[in-house]
Amino acid sequence: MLSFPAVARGQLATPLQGLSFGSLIAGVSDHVTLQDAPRRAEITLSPGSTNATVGVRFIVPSSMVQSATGAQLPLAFGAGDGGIYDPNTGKLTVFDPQAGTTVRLKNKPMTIYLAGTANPAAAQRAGPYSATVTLLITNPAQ
Amino acid sequence: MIKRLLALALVALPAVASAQSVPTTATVLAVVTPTITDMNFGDITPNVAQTVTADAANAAGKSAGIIALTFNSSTATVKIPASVTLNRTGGGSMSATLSCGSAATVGGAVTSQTAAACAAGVSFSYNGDATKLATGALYIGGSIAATESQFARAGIYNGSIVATITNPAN
Repeated sequence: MLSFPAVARGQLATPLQGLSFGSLIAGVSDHVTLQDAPRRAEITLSPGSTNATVGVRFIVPSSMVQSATGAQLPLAFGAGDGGIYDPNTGKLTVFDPQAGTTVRLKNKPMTIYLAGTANPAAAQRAGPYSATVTLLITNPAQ
Repeated sequence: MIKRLLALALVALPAVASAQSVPTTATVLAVVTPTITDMNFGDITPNVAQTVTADAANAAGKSAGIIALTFNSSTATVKIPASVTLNRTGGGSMSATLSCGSAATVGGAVTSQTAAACAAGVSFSYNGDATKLATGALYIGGSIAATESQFARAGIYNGSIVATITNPAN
C-alpha cells in the first residue's frame, strides 16, 4: 500500500494585478519596489487547507517583447524582489522570487508581491512591451 | 534452484503544483531629438538672385540649414514653411522661398524633395537597428529673387522659421 504525504489541496492563486512599469524613457532604468502598490504584481493566495505549507516561486522572463517588432526590453529580478504579505501578522516577508520560499497557509488569504527592474536601452524602440511571469505553487512537503 | 527476480517499480510522482500567469507590461516613450544647423545665404549682390541648394554642395560662404534628427519611433516627420522673411536691424527685409532635401544621416546622400513635400512633411523611417537610435536629416535650401535685393540696404539680414517635428507613439 502506497501512502502519500498530505498535500495542500485547493489553494487558489488569483492575480490581482500584473507588474506594470508604466511609461519608460529609453536609456533610463526603472525599479518597481515591493512598496510600490500601484505597479508591483500582486497575487492572492487563498488557503485551501489552513496550516498546509506550500512553496512559491516565480519563473521570470529575461526581457519583455514588443509584439509588433520583436524588439526586446531587458528585465532584472533581484533577490529582494519577492514579497509575501501575511494579513494574520501584518508582516511583509521578502524573498528571492527565482529561488522561491515556503509559506504556511493560514485562515486569511496571503498576498504575494513581485517587484523588478526594467532596463531599456538608450536606443530602445518606442511603444508597448509585455511579458508573462509565472508563479509556481508547489507542496515541498512531498 | 529457483531464482526470483524482484522487479522494482519506480514510480515518479509529479510534484503537486499549480502555475499562475501574471502579465508584465511597459511602454517606452517616443522621443525625437533635433539638432539644428543654421542656413546661410552668404553675401548677396543687389539685384542678383541668390540660391542655397538643399544639400551639402554649396559653394564656400553659403550653406544649407540642417535639421538632424534622432528618434526611437517608427517614423519622424519634419515640416517647414514655404518661405522665410529676412530682416535687417534698422529696417529692410527680403523674402526667400525655401526648399528641402532629405538624407538618412548628416553627410549622407540627399534626395531632393518637392515644395509640396517640404510643406506637407518629410518622413524618416526607423532604421531597424535596435542598437542605435534612428536618424534623419532635412537639408533646407532657399532662393532670394533678384527683385528682393534690388534696393536692399547693406547689412546683415536674419530670419527664423518654425519647423514642426512629429513622431508617433511607437
